[in-house]
Amino acid sequence: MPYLWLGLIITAGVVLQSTVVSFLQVGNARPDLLLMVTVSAALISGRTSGVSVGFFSGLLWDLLTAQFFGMYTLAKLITGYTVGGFEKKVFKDNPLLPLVAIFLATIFHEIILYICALTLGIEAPFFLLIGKNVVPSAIYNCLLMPFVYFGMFSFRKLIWPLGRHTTEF
Amino acid sequence: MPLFRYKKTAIFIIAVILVIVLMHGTATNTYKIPLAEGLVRIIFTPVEQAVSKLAYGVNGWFSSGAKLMSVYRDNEALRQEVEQLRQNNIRLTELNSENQRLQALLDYRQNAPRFDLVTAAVIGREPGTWFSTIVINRGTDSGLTKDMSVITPQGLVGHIVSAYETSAKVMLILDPRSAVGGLVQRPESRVTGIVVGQAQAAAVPRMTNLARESDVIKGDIIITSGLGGIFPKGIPVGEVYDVKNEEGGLLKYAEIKTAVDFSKLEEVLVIRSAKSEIPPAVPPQPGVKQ
Repeated sequence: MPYLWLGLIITAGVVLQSTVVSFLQVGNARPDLLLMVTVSAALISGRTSGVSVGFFSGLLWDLLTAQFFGMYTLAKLITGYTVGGFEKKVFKDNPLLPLVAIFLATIFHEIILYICALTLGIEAPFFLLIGKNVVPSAIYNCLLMPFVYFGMFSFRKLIWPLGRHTTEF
Repeated sequence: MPLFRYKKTAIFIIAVILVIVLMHGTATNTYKIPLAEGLVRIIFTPVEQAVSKLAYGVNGWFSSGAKLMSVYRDNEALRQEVEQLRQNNIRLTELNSENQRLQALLDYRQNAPRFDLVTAAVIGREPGTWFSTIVINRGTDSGLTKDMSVITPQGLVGHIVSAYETSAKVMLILDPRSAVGGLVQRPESRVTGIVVGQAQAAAVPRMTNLARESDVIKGDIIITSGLGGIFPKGIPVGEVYDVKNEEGGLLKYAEIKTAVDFSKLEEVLVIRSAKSEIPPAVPPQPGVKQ
């Protein structure tokens, strides 16, 4: 059961995202726990973990919310892949790393969602969306990200018992 | 290794393409995945319910705390409002009191057209055993000079001893250095004397230099006599409440309760000039002793 804890973290993230997060919404800013888990996994363990966590967390979320299946799967998959590419180039214990990573990843993730929405015929004013929703959510994610990232970083040996398995794509 | 590397990249690209196809398929209702959705829903629903219940409980707890804080803030705001209203009430009461006093001064001015009066506020007091003076907020700028009489509608206050540009010092009739020519207003009496302050009893000036046989009795109203050139005639000074003989002499003195309550002195009138001599306070009557 090498991926038990990772599975539990994703499941817990999905459950919390669908239940508790609505209480944490401030204005238009809403934290994305699944994105935090995806980015943390990608930063700690590389692309394979980033893509896997992004894929499964996005998939579960898509299945659970059942709006447009695949939107979140795709967005998190690509975000996990992209962030995972930086895994070897960063100092993992730098306290600023998760903050910068989640801020940029949130914007990147939302841009992918925006493009997906556009391709599905949903239009929205891009810059208004960025200013009113995306940036506040990115800042909100920055506040919570250290807990998720350093929590997972502290238990990385438990979460990834087989060691670092980030074979480069 | 390169093959493995490309294999993973290929899987990633295939996964992306698959997801895009699925996304468009489900969006256009071409494909449906009710089984997967249903399965996930079945698994997650009880968990979500339990966590939601817990979350609602926690949220309710926080909301109660927030409400308590809100009540506390409201309470603080209401306290401040009450304090503000209390201050306003005090201010209005003060304004009302000031209005009444100024109205009385105005009435007096209208009823005493022979006086050229200047209204002044008391801005300083120098009460003491030896001296009784006040400072008013009018000075030479307002035409005030030394030795001008200071009154209120109730009676005599004193006279200016020093005039500055924007203020003046007034010696009260309670001051031991003060000497005012006094006259018993009662037509049968009309006895004159000198009203002087006392160091030993600052609130009770005396009318001195009264002959023992002079007709001064308790209850007599003392007004200024106009003698001495400082105080115009006819301004009330006070009321005699006791008459005593001087020790070892032929004179007696009257203790006077002043017409003015000096403890409540806030505004005064300064007589810049008197246009004519004041007529007697009481019209002369035939057969009355002058």
